[in-house]
Amino acid sequence: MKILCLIKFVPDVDSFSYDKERNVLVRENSSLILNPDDGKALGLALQLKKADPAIQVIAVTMRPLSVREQMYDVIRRGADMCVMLSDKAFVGSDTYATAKILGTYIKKECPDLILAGSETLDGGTAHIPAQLAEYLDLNLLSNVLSVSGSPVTDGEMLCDVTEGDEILTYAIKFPAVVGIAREAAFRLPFVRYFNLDKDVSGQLSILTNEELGLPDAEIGLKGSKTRVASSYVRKIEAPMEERIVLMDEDEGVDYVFRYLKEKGYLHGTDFHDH
Amino acid sequence: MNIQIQSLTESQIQQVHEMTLQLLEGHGITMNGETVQETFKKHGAKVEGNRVHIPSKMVEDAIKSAPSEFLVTARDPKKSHVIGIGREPALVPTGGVPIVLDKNGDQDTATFDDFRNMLKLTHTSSILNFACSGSLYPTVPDQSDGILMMIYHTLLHTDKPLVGNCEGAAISNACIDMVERATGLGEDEHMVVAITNSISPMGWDGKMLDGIRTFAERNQPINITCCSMAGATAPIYLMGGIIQSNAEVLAGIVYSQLIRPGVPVIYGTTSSVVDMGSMSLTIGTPEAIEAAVDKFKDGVAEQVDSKLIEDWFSQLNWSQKDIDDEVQGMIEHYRHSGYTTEISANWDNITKIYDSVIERIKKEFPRKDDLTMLGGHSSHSYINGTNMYFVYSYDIKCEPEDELLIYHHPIQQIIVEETLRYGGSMCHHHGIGKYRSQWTKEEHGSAYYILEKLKDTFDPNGIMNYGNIFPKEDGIKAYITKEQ
Repeated sequence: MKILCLIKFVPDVDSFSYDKERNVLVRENSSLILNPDDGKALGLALQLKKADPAIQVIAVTMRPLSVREQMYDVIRRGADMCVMLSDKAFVGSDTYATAKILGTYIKKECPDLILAGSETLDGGTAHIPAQLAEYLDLNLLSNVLSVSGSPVTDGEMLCDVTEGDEILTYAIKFPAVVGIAREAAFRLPFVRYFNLDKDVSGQLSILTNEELGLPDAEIGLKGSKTRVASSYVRKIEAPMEERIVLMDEDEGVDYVFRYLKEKGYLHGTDFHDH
Repeated sequence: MNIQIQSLTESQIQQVHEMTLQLLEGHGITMNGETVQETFKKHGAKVEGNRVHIPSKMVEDAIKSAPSEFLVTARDPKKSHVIGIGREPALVPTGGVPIVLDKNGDQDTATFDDFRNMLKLTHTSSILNFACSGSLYPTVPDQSDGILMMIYHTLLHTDKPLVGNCEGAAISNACIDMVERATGLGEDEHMVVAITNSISPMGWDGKMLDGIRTFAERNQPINITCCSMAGATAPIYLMGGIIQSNAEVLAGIVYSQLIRPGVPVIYGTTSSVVDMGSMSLTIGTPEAIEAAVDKFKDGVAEQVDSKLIEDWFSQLNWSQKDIDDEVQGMIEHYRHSGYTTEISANWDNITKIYDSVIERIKKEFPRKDDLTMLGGHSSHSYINGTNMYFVYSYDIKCEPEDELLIYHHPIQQIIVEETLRYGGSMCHHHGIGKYRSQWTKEEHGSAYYILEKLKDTFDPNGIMNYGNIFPKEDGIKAYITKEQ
C-alpha cells in the first residue's frame, strides 16, 4: 500500500513576539514549522506503517529548497522518501494552481491514499484537499478525527468525522483523499536519537516543472484563478494588566500574603499568627 | 603487646611515597628560619624565600640514615626502652593539655598540683612506660619558666624514660641539660625524646625547627609529628591528607638528618579529620564512643513536644491530592521536565563553576532553545564551601526514550566537567548514583583505590547496588547511552 502525505511548512506564529509599544506582532527571527494538521496526517501515515512495515510513505511538499533540512527530518522520523516540487515557475500559485501541480505529480505515483491536513496555519482556506480530490477525481473526506479498520487488507478505511455537534463514521474506499483535523490525536514521532545525524539525502527527490511538464500558463500567477487582494494581521489587544499600588509596606505584605493564600500557594495558619 | 596495622598494599605505599617526593620537590615546603634555609641550601636543595624544594634523593638518604630502632635510657636502667618496629610500643601520656576534669566532672585550668599528681600517676602506672614533661600545661605567668618547672618536676617525680620539651633552642638546651644533670647520662646516650610538630599545611615553624636542630646536635631522639586536619588544614580526601602529612613529617626528618646523620627519629602523626559543623579536630576514643552509645541507648535523648510534630505534619507542602494532581499533570503535559544536578565546591571556586557551566550550556548545548529554566541554588553552606544544585527545565521535543540522552546527559556532562575542572566535587549529599559513575575515578583521583578496596572487601561479588558509584560498562550502555 502506498500512502502519500501532503505537507506544508508555515511560519511559526507562536514564536512571534508582541511589541506592546507599536501594537504589532514581530515576525523577524521566527522559523518555519511543519503545519500542525499536516503533522497529524504524517503521524497517521507513520502509525499505519508501524503496524504494517510494508506500507510505503512518501511525503510531498511544494516549497523552495530552503526547507530541505526539514524534509530530511521527515525521512528520519520514518517516511520512506520525500519529494520536493520546487521551481521558480511555481511562485505565486494560488490553491487552484497548487492543486494542479501536486495532482500532476501524484498522478504519476498512483498512491492508494493521500493524506493531508484539513487546514494550514497561514492560509486557512482548506482548499487543497478538495481541489486535489477534484483534479484527481477521487473521493474526499475532511476533518477526520480518527480512523479504524484494516486499510491494507480491506482497501478502505473507517473515518470518524465531525459534523456540527456529531461525529459520524464513514468508510472511504481507496484511492482517496483524507483531510485530518487539527483535533485528531495522531502524533508525529520525533527523530530518534540514533537517527539524528543519519544521512538520508538519497531518499529525497527534487522535481522541477521540467519533470512535471506543466505549461507556464497553468502555473504560478498566470495559472492562478484567484489573487490575494490584501493581507493583514489580526489586531492584537494589549493584554490586560492589573496594577495595584499600595503605599504602606504592611498593607503590601498583607495583600501579597492574602493573594498567595487565595491562589493556593500557602497553606496552614494565618500570617498574623506569627 | 605488639600492634601493627597495615591497611595499604605495598604498591599503594609506594604510590604515597612517590607522590610525597613529588610534593616536596615540586611544590616544596615552608621551612622558617634563615639558619634552616641555609642548611638546606648548603646540602643542595633549591630555596626560594622560605620555600624549600627538597630533592627526592635528599629524602631517600635521610630515610636510610635514620636508625630503625634505638634505646631510650631511663634514670632507672631497668626501665629503659627500645623504640622500633616490632618492639613493645612506647606508651606516653598525651601532651599539651591545659584543662583538667575533677572527679565531679568540673573543668578548670591545670595547676602545678594537678601536674604533679599527673606525674605521680604516670610513675606508678603499670601501663605507661614513658613520662612526659608536657603531659599537662599548668597556667603560669611566664610560660618559659613554667616549662622549666615542668621539666624539673618531671625529673623529681619519675625515673621512667622521658619525653621532654623542645620549644626553641633555649628550652631544648635547658631540657637536655637538666635531664643530663639529673640522670648522670651523657650525650652518647639517648636520654630524652623531643616531640615536634609541623604547621599544616606544608610548613614548619622556626622555633620547632630550632628544637629539632638542638636535639639533633645533642644526639637526642626526636619525634617528628604532624597534626593536619582533613577538611581544614589538609585535603578533605584521606589520600591527599596522608600524602601531605607524610611530606611534612619527612621534611622534618630530612632536617634532623642534615644536622646530624643517624640521629634517631620517630615518624609521628596525629593527623585526623575535623567536624565540619564546628571545625574542631575530632580524635575519638573508645571511651567517648561508649559514653555516646550509653547516653542514647534508649533511643530517646529528649522527648519532643508532640504538638510541634503535629504542626509540622499538618503544614506539609505536599498532600496526597497534591501528589495525585502532579502525576495527572505529568500525564497530560508530558512535554516538560526538570532536573537538578548537585555539586559542591569551596567558596573560591563555586562562582567560577557556576559561571562556566552557564556559559558552556548556552554555547554548546544543541537544544538550548528548549530550556525553560537554568540556574543554581545552595542549600548547605559551610565555612569553607557550599553545595549547589544546578536546576534545569526544558520542553521535551523528542521521544521519551531519548530524553536523557538528548537533554539530561549532555547538560549533566557539562556540569560535572566544569566542576571537576575547578576542583569541586560532582556530588554532595545526593551522591553519585549510576548517572555520574563514569566520572568517579576522575573525581577521586589518587584516592580512587580506597573506594575500590572497600568495594572489593565488602562486596566481592559486585552484587550490591550494581552500577552505583563504580561505572559498569554494561550498565552505561544499557541505561545511559542506550546502545542497542
